[in-house]
Amino acid sequence: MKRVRTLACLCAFAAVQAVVAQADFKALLAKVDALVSFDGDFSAEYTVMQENPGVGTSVTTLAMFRRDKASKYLILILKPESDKGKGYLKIDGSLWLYDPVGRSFTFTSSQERFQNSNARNSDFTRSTLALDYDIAGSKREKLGKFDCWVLDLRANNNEVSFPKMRVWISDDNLVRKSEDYSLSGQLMRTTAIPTYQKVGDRFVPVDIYLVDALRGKTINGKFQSEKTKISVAKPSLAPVPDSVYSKAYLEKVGK
Amino acid sequence: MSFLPRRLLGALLAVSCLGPFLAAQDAAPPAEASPGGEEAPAPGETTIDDDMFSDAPDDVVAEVPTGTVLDELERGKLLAWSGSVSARALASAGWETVPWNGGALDGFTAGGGGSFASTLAFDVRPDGITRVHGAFTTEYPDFVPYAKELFLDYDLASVVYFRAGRQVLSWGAGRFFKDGNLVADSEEGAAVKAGVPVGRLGLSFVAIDRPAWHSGEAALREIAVGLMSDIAFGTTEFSLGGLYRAVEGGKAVATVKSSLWGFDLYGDAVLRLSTSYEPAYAALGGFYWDHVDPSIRLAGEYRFASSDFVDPGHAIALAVLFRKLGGSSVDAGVRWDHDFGSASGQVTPGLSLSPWRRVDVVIGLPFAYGSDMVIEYGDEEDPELFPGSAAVIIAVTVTVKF
Repeated sequence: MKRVRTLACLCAFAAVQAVVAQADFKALLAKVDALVSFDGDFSAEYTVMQENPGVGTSVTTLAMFRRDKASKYLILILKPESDKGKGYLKIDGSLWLYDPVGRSFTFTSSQERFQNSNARNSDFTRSTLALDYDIAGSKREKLGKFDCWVLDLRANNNEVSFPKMRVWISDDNLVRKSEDYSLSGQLMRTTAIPTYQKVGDRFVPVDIYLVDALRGKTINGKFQSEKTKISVAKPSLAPVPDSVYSKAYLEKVGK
Repeated sequence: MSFLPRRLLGALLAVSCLGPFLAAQDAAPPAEASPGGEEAPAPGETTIDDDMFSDAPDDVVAEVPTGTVLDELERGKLLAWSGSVSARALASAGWETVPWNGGALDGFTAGGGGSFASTLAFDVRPDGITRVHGAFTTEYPDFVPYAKELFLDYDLASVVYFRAGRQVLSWGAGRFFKDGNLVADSEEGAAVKAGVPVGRLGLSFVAIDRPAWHSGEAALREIAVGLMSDIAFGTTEFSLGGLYRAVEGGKAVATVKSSLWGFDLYGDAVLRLSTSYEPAYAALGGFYWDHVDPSIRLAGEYRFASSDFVDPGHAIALAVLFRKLGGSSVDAGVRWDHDFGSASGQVTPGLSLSPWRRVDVVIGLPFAYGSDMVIEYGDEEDPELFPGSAAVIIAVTVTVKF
């Protein structure tokens, strides 16, 4: 009887420990989210370099305006010439795509890839790891020069791009690497952010490297993954007029 | 095949008939690869391993930019030019009536032709509040320039954006059936549009004039005036627009767009009221699905129009496009248009590929059935006709863009 009581106590203790750990890591994720999200406006020029093995490399340059607090963003394609003027406007759950040739908007809830690259539209919005994911596992690991917490995350809703993630969070509360998985556990892509740039009291990646685990081409008997590099330049926290986050503005600045 | 709107059957050959309408509102259009566009270095890193993090530069404090992205957009550009020149050779062969029980050459006919066209566009943004944009086209044999677009923009204190001149306006959600686009006349005349930038709420006023509506100067009662408003709630957008012309009557369109299980769903309801005839109405419902891996696009629409509309009755249009087959440059697709009233229509399977830089080859196998054996293909606004029920049409186009 005494053994049973001891076992029950141990189980209860372990459960409490797990809850405490869950809460601690949730707090860590909240810190991570806060460091890369913006209460006011954020604007920058992004360059998306996409390498498709056997095909070539394409470059897309875009202007990004984000107001995370109001769940808004506007993206305007600046290059290449063939896509110039195309735009994305997102307000809460509503997403509009602007086609400057037909001068028309498509309203969609698409969560698909951005400009057919390895980036998702969600990569350009605020980080909501603490809100969208629960912690399924944790360990300490060295990632190059960074001492990291490695967290296994499980999505708690269907709105996210990836149902499972593994993230490497350095001790300065920044995500340095992540692996995105399907529900069945298939690795879909790997992301690396070796260096950040500090803007005000927030952080923005200098370069984001994405390696697609599924898309690529077999060349000389070896599978070569599609890769994307996203560079962020001219980051600014200067206020942006409300009128920028509108369909009319996309028509104004479009091609 | 005259029962269907020309703009509906105005499909480019086979697959290129699918491309424009499926790609025009593309959720994830492909970026231009370097072989045909800008030279670009590879992203550099081939794998993500510890070395990338061992050698990573330290985090930095971002330099304060001398000008923000918004400044650069608003600053204006004195003059930018762009354009294209294309030459197309086309061959067609087929049967006026498919000789199911006759000789293979019974009713066989063949032809060919070509076209040479160019577009020249300019964009002037002298400051952040004004802009002039023009796009002119010319075609062999007369090479008379035609102003496809020529308009002036004015930003009134970021409260109202004005656009005046010849411009493309678009209402409604239809990709195949465009009854809801009540403002399409703007492309053959001139219009003033005033748009109000108010976040999720869209509001715009339009006034349209077409030279074909009158002789001499336009009287006020000749001009069409309208208002379009739309608002989004979550993943559903509602739009309501109306257009009134004193000498003609009023038109209204209500549009709903939403998404479910990855499909974009939409519908238009159109009502026309006139002093000279009974109210006319049309409605359509459609869907669009875009799958990335593999790249498949699927679209379909059902349309009903009352007798006062062009091509009244029930009709459907369906299209599927498979892009970059097997990682190649080959796209393949099928488009089917069918009119239930006359039990006739057209099926157009086809392929498109880019075998060499700046060269596109399109192969279409259109098949018409029903009462009126004429195949329509080519430019959406001005389709070409093939007098038969089955054909092979091959077009080779060389395009230079600058």
